[in-house]
Amino acid sequence: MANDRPASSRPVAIRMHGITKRFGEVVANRDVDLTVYEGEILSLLGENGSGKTTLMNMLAGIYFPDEGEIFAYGKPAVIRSPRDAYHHGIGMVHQHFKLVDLFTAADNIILGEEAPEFSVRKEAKALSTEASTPRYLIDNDDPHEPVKTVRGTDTRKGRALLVARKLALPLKKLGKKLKFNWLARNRVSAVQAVADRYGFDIDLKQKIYDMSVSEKQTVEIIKVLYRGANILILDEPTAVLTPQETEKLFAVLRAMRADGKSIIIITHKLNEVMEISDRVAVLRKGEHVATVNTADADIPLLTELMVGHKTELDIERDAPEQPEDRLTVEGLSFTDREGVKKLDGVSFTARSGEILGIAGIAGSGQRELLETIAGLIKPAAGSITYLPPGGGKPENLMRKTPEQIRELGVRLSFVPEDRLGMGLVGNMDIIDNMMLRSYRRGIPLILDRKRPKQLAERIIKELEVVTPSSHTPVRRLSGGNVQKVLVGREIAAAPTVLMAAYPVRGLDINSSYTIYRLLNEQKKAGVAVIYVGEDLDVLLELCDRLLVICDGKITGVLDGRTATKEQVGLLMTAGHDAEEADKERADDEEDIPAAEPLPEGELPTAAPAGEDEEDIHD
Amino acid sequence: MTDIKKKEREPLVQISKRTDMPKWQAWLIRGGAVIAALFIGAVVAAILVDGQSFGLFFKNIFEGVFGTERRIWNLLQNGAVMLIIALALAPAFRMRFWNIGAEGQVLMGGLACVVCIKYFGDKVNEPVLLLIMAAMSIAFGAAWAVIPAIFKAQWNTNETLFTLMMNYIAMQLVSYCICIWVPNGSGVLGRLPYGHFPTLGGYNYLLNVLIAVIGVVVLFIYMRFSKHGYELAVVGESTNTAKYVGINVKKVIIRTMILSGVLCGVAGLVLVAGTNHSLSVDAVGGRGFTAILVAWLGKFNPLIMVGTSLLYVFIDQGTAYTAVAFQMSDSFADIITGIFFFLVIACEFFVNYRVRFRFLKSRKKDGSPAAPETESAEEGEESLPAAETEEEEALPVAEAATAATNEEVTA
Repeated sequence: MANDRPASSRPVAIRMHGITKRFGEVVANRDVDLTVYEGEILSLLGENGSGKTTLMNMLAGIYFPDEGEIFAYGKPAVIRSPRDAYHHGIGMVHQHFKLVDLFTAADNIILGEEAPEFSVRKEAKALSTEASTPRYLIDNDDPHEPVKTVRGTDTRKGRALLVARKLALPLKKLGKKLKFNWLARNRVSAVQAVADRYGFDIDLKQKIYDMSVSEKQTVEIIKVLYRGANILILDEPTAVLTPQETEKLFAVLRAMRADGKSIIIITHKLNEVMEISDRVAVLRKGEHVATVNTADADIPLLTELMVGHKTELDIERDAPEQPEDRLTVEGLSFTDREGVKKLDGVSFTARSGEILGIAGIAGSGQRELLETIAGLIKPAAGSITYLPPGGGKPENLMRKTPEQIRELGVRLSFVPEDRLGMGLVGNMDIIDNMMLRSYRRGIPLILDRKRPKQLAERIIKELEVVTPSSHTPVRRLSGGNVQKVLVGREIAAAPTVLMAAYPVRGLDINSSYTIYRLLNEQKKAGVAVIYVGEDLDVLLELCDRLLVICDGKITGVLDGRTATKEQVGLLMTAGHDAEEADKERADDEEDIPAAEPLPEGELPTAAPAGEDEEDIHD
Repeated sequence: MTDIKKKEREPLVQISKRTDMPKWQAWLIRGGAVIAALFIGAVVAAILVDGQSFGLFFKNIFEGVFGTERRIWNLLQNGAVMLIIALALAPAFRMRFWNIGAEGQVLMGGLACVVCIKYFGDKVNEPVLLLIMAAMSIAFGAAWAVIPAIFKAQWNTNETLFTLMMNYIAMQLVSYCICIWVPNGSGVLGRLPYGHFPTLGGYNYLLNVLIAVIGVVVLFIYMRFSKHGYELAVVGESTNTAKYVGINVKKVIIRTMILSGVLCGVAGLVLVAGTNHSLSVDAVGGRGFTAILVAWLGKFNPLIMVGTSLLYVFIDQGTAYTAVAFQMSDSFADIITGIFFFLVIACEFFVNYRVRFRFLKSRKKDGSPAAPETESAEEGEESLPAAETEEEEALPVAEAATAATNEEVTA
């Protein structure tokens, strides 16, 4: 791996070779090679689901690779648990913090640390020597007398005290074994030393529940450092931070780099990659695409590496028939409980007979947007207007509950992201899940299970749901079949607006195509379909129009037939700079081939830049 | 490295979840547990008393419950009260509303009855009085249940603590009332002269049993076939789903707890008007808590709960009689009851999990290098939310901890 010129002179900290990890049939990582040097910051870049976290989890001992080897400082390392990882000097700060809320920062950091062996015999010896060393000077007035020294063992009291302290030693040992916290208190100073060394600003005596997200993250980082990690993995550390906090974090990371630590940052924010890292490793669909020096890279190149080139999927797409406005959203804003602005002035229109795609990095506000429309979230500002087919009276859906929306006669179907936690009830059978939308119909008070049963059987037959019977609890079905049940039910309600959040996540190819087909059928039937997806290839082939969302703002509305992946990728990541970057990209066109040979020529889809232009002119 | 080696070996006991057990087999296991408990009880009796009592144990237990007509009626009458309280708890627990305040709710129902008897007993005739009592006890029980429900629905307070505390308030109220009604300071409310359930066909407790039977039928229909029952099940499984389909969660919580309180009130009525004809602070005697066990063992299914409540009363009554017959103390009855419930509850583990011992498997796998491979395969299967033809989710003990930290499969 001599492709990294400035770093290659440094010793190698971690080398991963040929790592493959499968979850059932899904390949999360395929044959990944990765090298980390001492004293560098490496960014691990990739789209959602590209296998970044999985790869790092294998370093941190959460998963064990199916194939491949890991070397830590030149020696082969078998990492089967986080403890093993620490043993090799690897520590990871996870996206979801793993802290005990009721403990102080210091207690959390010390928690789980292996206490050094406490030997009663040694301690007793130490006590004896301590007691027999002269401690007191008796100052007698007579200058002729020699100065007298008194040992701890000279007096009766002193001897008794020594015996008592020796007898207490086994108890102390027991206390250490049981990890009584008060015995560990003196280690707080050691923790403080670590914090001071890298300039962390934190009160170690504070309880976790009183801390901000940024402070919690600091605690996690100190914990990892305190355990003696030389290789730090940070999983999307800036996702939860404000720009100022991010700057602070980066300063600390630079201090750690100067101290010779290796740092791996998982991220998909390109500007941060450019700012902080020395090298960038790019993963796409579980495979390692390239590793480039940050100095040689720019945002368009990284975007291209990250999203890759368009692959043909062959999803049918007919022209929309007589589209008319069905749902208008204007200036929608929503701030969540933690004070993060999830939606910021979102405006768009969904039309009947077309599929409106929403693209964006996960957590950019897609979920909040759909849940707001569905009435599950009360937005702070904005308006949602439903225009019924046939030009009826427009209905205001703003701040209406799902119940009220239904009573207005708006047939709004919603396939949520969390299938078993929201869309379906895992412990109920398929029939009872079918009733969720329709159980209110029929005679009052008494349930009608006949029609849901017919519906369940129809869906099982038409969508080829693999299940022992319609009485099987849905949680026992596989992911694809669960989704078929959910989508089937939502479509059976004959919607006029159909919203689907990540409907093909985790599904195999066949099930995915079934879902595409169903969405297309709805489109043909004149339904306004809103599709939130993560695979850009699919979004570009399935959707008539594409809405790109970044940090709760709409950064662009593109035509699904003419948009390119690069356009979408740029809007998704560095939304506001997209136009500038486009210009830059045009200027840098010649520079790209120069950067290409870097990763051992393994840019499988990095075809000449000319192809893009064809796409644009299409 | 040493502890890495250790992990590569197959665990001594492998526990895996199973979902494919046919119903009859599950009931066979449960029946087996009851029979095993009887046998162990007999062995304990043989050890504690003498060898002869092994056989006598079976005889005494059944004689204590079915020996005379009076004993059988006792079984039915106690079973009826237990069943009504358990029925009251079932919808609340199905909704995952941990109502542990049945004790207080029943007591309030009972108190309402006594209040009615005290103030209207000599003014109106019996049938009218009974109707007033029924209405009042239902109202009191419902009020006691709906207070924590409103707090839960509006401010999401912890219903467990709230309902528990309501019990103590109810007890203090009862003891306060008794102090007023019994001026002589004995604290014992004598037998009340009015407000007794009529004897049907010459049987004292027949009406109690009939009320319980009606309760079972009504609640079974309510939980299984009504829209309300469906809504409360959805709320219990996932409030997110409930909100998503437009169920008013607050309304369902309050409505279900009113139902729960109403049934507790009925239990109070049965207790005062049908059985005790009096009231004391410990009239319910912990049945509000025992009913939780009964309802849970019955899987909140009213029909199965008939069986579990009768089983509980059978054990309770049978062991008490056996203790007296063997001239042992109450603790003997407690020991046997403990054995019964330990086995009855523990057998659910074998219904839900398959246990395999390493030494019972074919031995050729030992020492083969294939061990780590199978382990990682299991890991993969487990990490996926649902594999296609999933028959059992492997849960090797060593990996349970790892699984807890694997919150996301994909990044």
